[in-house]
Order: sequence, then structure tokens, then C-alpha cells
Amino acid sequence: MAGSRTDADGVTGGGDRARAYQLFAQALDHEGELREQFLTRECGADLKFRAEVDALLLIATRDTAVTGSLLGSPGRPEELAGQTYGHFRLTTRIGEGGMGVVYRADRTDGVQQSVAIKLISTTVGHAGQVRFEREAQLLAQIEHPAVARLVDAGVENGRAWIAMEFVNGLRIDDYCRAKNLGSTDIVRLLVQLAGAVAAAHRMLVVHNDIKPANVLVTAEGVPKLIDFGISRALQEAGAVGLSGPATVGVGRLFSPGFAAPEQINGGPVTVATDVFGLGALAYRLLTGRSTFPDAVEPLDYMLAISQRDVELPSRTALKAGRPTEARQLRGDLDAILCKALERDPNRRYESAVDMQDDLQSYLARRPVKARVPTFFYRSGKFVRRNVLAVSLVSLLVVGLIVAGTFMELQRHRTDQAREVAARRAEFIENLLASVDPTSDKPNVTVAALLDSAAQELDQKFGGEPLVEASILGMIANTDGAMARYPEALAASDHQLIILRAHGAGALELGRALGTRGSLLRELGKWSDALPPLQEAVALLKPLDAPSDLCSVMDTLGAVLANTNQEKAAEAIYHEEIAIEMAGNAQLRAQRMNPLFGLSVLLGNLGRYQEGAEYGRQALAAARETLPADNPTVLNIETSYANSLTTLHRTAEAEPLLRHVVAAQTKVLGPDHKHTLLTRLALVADLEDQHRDEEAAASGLPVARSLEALLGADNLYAMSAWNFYGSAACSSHQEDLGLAALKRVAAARQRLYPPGTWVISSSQLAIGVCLFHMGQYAQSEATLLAAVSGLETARGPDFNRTQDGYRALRDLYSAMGKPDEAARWNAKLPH
Amino acid sequence: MTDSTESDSLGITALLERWSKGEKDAYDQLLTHLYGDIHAIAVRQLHREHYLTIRPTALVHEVYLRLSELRQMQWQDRAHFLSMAARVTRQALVDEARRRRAEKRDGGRAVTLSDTNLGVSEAAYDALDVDTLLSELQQFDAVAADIVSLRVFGGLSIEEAAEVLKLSVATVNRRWVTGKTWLARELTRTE
Repeated sequence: MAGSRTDADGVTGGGDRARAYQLFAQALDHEGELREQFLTRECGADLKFRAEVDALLLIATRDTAVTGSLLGSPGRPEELAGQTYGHFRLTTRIGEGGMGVVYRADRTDGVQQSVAIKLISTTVGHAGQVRFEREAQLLAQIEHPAVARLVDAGVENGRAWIAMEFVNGLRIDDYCRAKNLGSTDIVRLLVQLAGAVAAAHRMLVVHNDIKPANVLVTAEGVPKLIDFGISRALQEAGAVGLSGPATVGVGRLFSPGFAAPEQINGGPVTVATDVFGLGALAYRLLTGRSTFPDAVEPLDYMLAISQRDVELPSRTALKAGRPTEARQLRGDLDAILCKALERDPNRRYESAVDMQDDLQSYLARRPVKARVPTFFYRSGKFVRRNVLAVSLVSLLVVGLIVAGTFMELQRHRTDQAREVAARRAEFIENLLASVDPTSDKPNVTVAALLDSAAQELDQKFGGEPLVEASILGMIANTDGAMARYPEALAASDHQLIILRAHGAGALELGRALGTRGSLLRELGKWSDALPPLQEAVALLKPLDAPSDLCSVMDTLGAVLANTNQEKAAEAIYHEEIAIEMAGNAQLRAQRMNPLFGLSVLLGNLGRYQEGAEYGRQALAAARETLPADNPTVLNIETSYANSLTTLHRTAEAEPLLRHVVAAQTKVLGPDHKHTLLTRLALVADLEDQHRDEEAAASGLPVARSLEALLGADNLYAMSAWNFYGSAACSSHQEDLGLAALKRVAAARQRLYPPGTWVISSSQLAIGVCLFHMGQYAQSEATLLAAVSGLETARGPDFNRTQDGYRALRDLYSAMGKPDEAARWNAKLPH
Repeated sequence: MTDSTESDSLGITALLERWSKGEKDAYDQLLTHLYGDIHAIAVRQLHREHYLTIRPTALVHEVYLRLSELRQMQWQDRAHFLSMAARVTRQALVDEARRRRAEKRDGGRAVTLSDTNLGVSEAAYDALDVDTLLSELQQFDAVAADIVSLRVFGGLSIEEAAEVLKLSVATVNRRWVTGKTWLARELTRTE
């Protein structure tokens, strides 16, 4: 076949083919009679040639007729009413879909039957026809009250058509809106649909495009799945490989909001794909929003679905201004939907039947299967191995908080509340007792236990808002400790909503706000962290809760330090230290935190000697109470080593850092945030020692991991890219280095207020890189701007400013301008 | 570098940046980079799919995903990226089709294109057929040939193709219809 086309001779060969094409294109501009006249005039008596042009016109107008337009351009569709297909005569046009037009049709043989006929816009060849008819036979066997039955199908003049049971109904989303259906009624519809999908699956047919447009609901309230047209029979019983829909339009192979990841990345389409579709449909109907409401464009959806999990349905409903639905979704429905919408097909419900079972269990108030851990493993990438130590510590801390609440409840509340609290205390005990420290996956066990148990509590104690809030606080803290930030923030959000709604006391609210601030701080969202922390300090100060107050002040200090309010930060730290020194031993031990903060702050302010001294004190304070390999101690040790690096005491710092990296890798894993930060410090240290190649090689994975963990805009991630970029520039990988530096510079410009020193610092790094690349003129301009910015922000004695002087000196030497070089050199201390 | 994929990806970022500044050689380097990627993905998809069918759009999408740096791209950049990917995809698929024809692998079955929406049964032709015909069309309607290539191999929408080719949507629409009709006619020609 392939060979015969290009060497076809006669009228269609060479120039005639071109001429036929041109005539065809021109003929399209004429209509009806005019077209006929035009063709007669141009083709004359050459009938073979005329036939060729006609063939082209036929193909073009056929496509136009079926799609109703010239592929997207507005135009009047050809009226097809009156035409017959099989036993059916088209009566009225009722719609248009991605695959073609839909007509209502009646039987021509006298039998009373009304059907909907879909005319597929793609032509089908002989082989395709056989396959199509075979599939249609299969589809016709699907019998379920919630499936619009396939009545007949065929191919007429190369055009495929499908006759389906005519459904007089509304699209399911319109129906739910019109009837103002509540969650329970919607779930009832979903149960029927899941059953329908399961019935199709038993016939080895996957729907492959479940979305509101493909579900109609009749006046009697019966949902009907339509359009199995693009689904295909599974290859063989048990086989999973299926290619996607053949033709739904170029570049529009999936429905944003409803397509599963495997439909987008080319993975096998299986029953799990329909489970996802059902989940997405449920999500839409129950929350009022699509799975990724901000990703409407196919490409945006594609990125969204391959990179993130859907937001908890209850949260989405809350955001959509549906608090009642949010309450109903929380718990079971959240779990069911998230299980159906797992990005990994293997983690979804194994079948539509399983999903149907769970939906039914929900309706019957029985426990649902989805509540077992899967849902909580969603952000598994955040769960690092070997964090048992950390999570156990936080669990114990949390246990104390919970026990504290328990005491309060006992004092102030009814017998019922006492019972609630007692049961919760029991839960904590059981939880701790069931942790097996010898298990190979300790972290997963802890996370799963905590999450599933807390979920259970949520269900049991939903009527006790204070109890629920305190558990949510516990979850937020623990998730935060395990770097599961999205979960942590979700819990914290939820907790605050409850606390504020129920007029909680200053202590609870202050603690909750503190947690939220510290989570935001961990995520590098400094300015978002400020308001909750300030509110927390204001709430806690009048109370006798020094430990809570100090921990919030500590976070506030760090946030102030990172939002250009260094003076305020320094003051807060000193105030905190004073409170701590006046307290008991436990409180005094907390002073390691502000001391640590001060050492970092003063280091950044260029007061390196003072900074290092506070670092030494912080380390000493930490070692007073904590074991040497405790994560916090290691963290402080890192920072101390850092300040030594800054003071160019790199020889002292390097072994210290390597020791910390080794210890953290063992305890926390190589990609835990703290380990990464130490590895980052080591990169900086190497760079200071001018071991650039080593610095670049070890900097790249660190930067990548930090970005993956904390996001591209995170302070640490940017800092890591900056170190990597500078090191790469100095070790003959200027292209890579410069790209990284520019990315950071752009991000910093976007994220920091103008005039912040880090922006100029980025510029300086770029200038130095350009110098290495021999682009002197560009380098000069960049360096001058950077140095001027640094001088304004930090003065001439700041270490980066001085780095700038040094760079300009070197640049002018290289440019053969000794006078200029000497001028900049004079600004350096001797 | 410790990890080659990391450096590759970073290289592409840098190239994209240079390309966006109008550096011509960056474009050619990008094509080279992407060729390897797309060809590898095409071969892998062929292994995975039951049919010997390639969906160029899925291919381009996968590359797009891998270059996650592109998520910051503006719409116009995206269209240009897709146009570039279309060019590379076409080359990669043609090479693969040529190789398969030569090796008569899998019983000599050709690599077919499945989402071209040409109104033609998919099993009848492969990327090499389409490529040969588009080269012919190029000679008498270069614009139509470009549009068909962008849409078939890169999955560009009419609007995106208009953006890339700096033509009006109406023009692109018209020429897409004439171009694809001609292609469909030639692909189904049985005499």
C-alpha cells in the first residue's frame, strides 16, 4: 500500500496532483451551484481529473457534515435528518460531542423504538469496520439499568454509527444542581453508576471516559452511562494492555478534570482507569469543583495530575463555600474518593465493585475499607525511612499535650467529656503499645497508625469539637515532624477553623496558631507565617505558659529574621532567652533555640564572631539535655560549623559537618530536610576551600532534593542552587552554573522585596560566572550593579560586598585596567 | 556530574533559556537533546502498547512532562515548544518506521499513527508514509504541510499552530482542512 501512493501515475501523478489539490482548495470557497460551475469550467472534459477533485471534496465535506464545523471554526452543520442508518431514520439533532453529532432516530420497520444515533466523525476502513462491529457486538451485551444500552451499530459509506437507547434526561451535574441533591442522594447515584461500570467490566469493556457529560439522569432519577463508543474491549481476559481512544481529536485525547494519569502518560488503560473516572465524577458532584480546578487547559491538567495529588474533597468543598458538604465529606467520603483518585492505579480500588461496596458501606454507616491506610500514604514521598526516632519523640510529646487536655476536661466538663477523654487516652496508649521498633518500616507504621487511629477518632468524636481540634493539632505536629507538610497544613487549617468557630480559649488557639506559623516557616512561607505567630504571642503572653510562649517566640524570631526585620528578631530572641533563664531546668534547656537563632541571625548580619559564639553556646545548651546524636543537637552542630565556615575556619568546620552528615544520614535518611541542610553546609564549606568541582558534584543532588522536598521557591532550595551554580561556574561548567544562578536570581526577585541583599548576592554570583566565561563587559555591568546593591543593603564591610570588591578587582586586572583594579582592591581590608 | 539525567535536564533548561532569548544555535541543540528523548520514549511506548501503534500526542506529552521546568512557560512558549517537539517526533517516528521496515520486525508490521484524526483507518499507514506525503505537499502548499505536521506529530491545536506560524486562526483552519483532506485521500488511495 505504502509504495503505490507515491509512484501513482496518470492524472494523479506529479503536477496534476498539485493542480487537483489547488482546484479542490479553491472549490471549497464556492458553494452549491457556483462550485459546480467553477469545477466544470476548470476541469473541462477531463473526467478522471474531475473525479479526483470530487474525491477530495467528498472527504472534506463529509468531515464538515459530521463534526458540524471545519474542525472548530463556526459554521452551519449539514442537516442529516431524514437519512437512514440501518433500521433507523434520523429525526432531530440532539447534540454534538467530541466524536461526532448525535441525532434522535426512529425505526423504519414499524417497531416502536426511539434511539439516539451517534455518527462518528472518523471514517473506518474495511479492517476497522470488522473490528468496530465486533466491538459493538460486545458492547450490546452490556445490560444494566444504569447503562444506556447499545441497540445497533454499523458502518455506512465508511462512516461508523452507533444507535443507543434514547435517554430522556439531564446531565448528572445539571440534575444534581436542579434537584439540589445532598451528599447522600449523590452517593446513591454513584452506587448505581459504579454498579454499571462493574457490569461493563465483567464484559471486559472499559468505559475510559467517565465524566458528567457522559452520565444522564432520567426524570425517574435513574442514572445512565452513555457513550461506550471510545471504550475498547480488553485484549484478552486478564490482559491489561489497551491503547487509548483512537480518535477524539488531535491533542484532545483526554478530558481535563476527569482523565486518569495513565490516560495521559500512555500507561495501560484498565478497570482502574474507570475507578479513577468514578472518583473524579464523585469529586465533581460532591465538592462542586473538578479535581484540579485551576487546571482547565489540557496541558495544565496533564502537569497537575502527574505532579500532585488531589486536594482532600472536604477541603475543596470548604473552599467552594460548602461547609455542610465539607462536614459530610470529612472522614469516610474523603477516604473513598482519595482511594479512587490515587495516581498509582495499583493503589486504587481493585475494581468498581469494591468501590461500590465502600459507597454502600458509607450509606449504611458501616466502616469503609478505604479508611485503612492507603489514603494516608498518599504523600509517601514525604515519608522518609528511619524516622522512627523522630516520630516517636513527637508522639510522646503529643501524648503529653493530649493528656494535658484530658486533665482540663476532667476538671471542667461533664461526665460525657470525661469518658471521651478517657477513651482518647486509651487510644494513645494502644497506639504507642502497637509500635514495633524492630519493624523494617517503622515510619510507615507510625504514620499509618497515627493517621488511621486519628481518623477513627475524628469519626467518633466529631461531636466534640475541642477534642477533635486537639487531635488535629497532634496530627499537624506529627506530620510536620515527618515533613509531611501538605497533610500537616490541612490538619492545622481544619483545627483552626474548629477552634475559632467554637470560641476556644487563648491557650488552645495560641498553640494552634503557633503550630501553623511553624509549619509555614518550615515551608519557607515567611510572610504568611508572620500573622499567626504574632497573634499567638499576643494570646500566650498574658498566660502562664512560658514553654508554649517561648517556642512561638522562637519561630517568630526566625520569621522576622527572614523578612528584613533583623532588629526585631534580635530583640525577640533576647526576650525569649530571659524568660527561659528565669524558668525551671526544662525551660532553661529551651534556650538552645534562641541562641541558635541568634547565631544564624548575627551571621547573616555579618557579625560573624558574635554569631559563632552564640552557636557555641547553643550547642553547649543542647548537649546539656539531649544525647549527642539527637537530631536537634546535630542541627545546631551544623549551624555552628556553618559559622566557622563563614569565619573561614573551614578546616575546623569540615570534619564536623561530615560527622553530622553521617549521623543524620543514619538516623534520618539521606534526603531528610535536616540531612540535606547539612549537606548544603558542606557544599558551602567545600566552596570556601575552593574545592569547586567537589562542591558542584555534591551540590547538584542536594539542590535537586531540596527543591523536590520544599519546592523551587524555598529559601534553602534556592540557596543550594546558588552554591551549586557558583561552584559549577568555577569548575568549567559555566552553562549549567549560569542557568542555575539565573533561575535563583529570577525567583528571588519575585519573592523578596526590592533591595533585599540576597537579590544582589545572586547578581554578584552571576557577574562572577560571566567573568569566568570571559564575558567581561556583561560581567562588569552586573558586578557593579550587584556591589552597589550590597553596599546599600549591608554596607561595605558585609562579606558579600567584599566578595564583590574582590570580583571587580579581578575583573579589572583581567581587562588590563590596573588603576580600576587597584581602586577596588583598596576597599578590601588588609 | 554524579547523575547524568540531572545534568541533561539542567542542560535543557539552560538551552531553553538561551533559545527564548533568540539564540539560534540553542534551538538546534535543543532538537538534538529532544531527539534522543523522544526516540527513546517512542521505542518504549511501542514495547508497551499491544498494537504497534504510536500516539504522537502521548509521546510529546510525555516529553513535556519530563521537562517539568516548562511548567513556568507562557502559552506562546508552550506552543513553540510543541512545534519543536512535533519536528523531532516526526523525525524520530520516521526513523523508527524506516528501521522497522528494513528489519521486517514483528512480522514486518509497520508503526502506525493512531491519533492523527485524518479520517482514515489507522492501520493502513505509518509515519514514513505520512512523512513522504507531507514532503510532497510541502512543494505545492508548504503552509498546509506545516500545519498538518504540527497537528499530527505535535498535537498542536488550531490556535497554537496559528501562534507558531504567525497566521490567522481562520487561515490555519482552512489550510488544515485542505491539507489533511489531501493526506487522507492519498493514504486511502488504492489504485
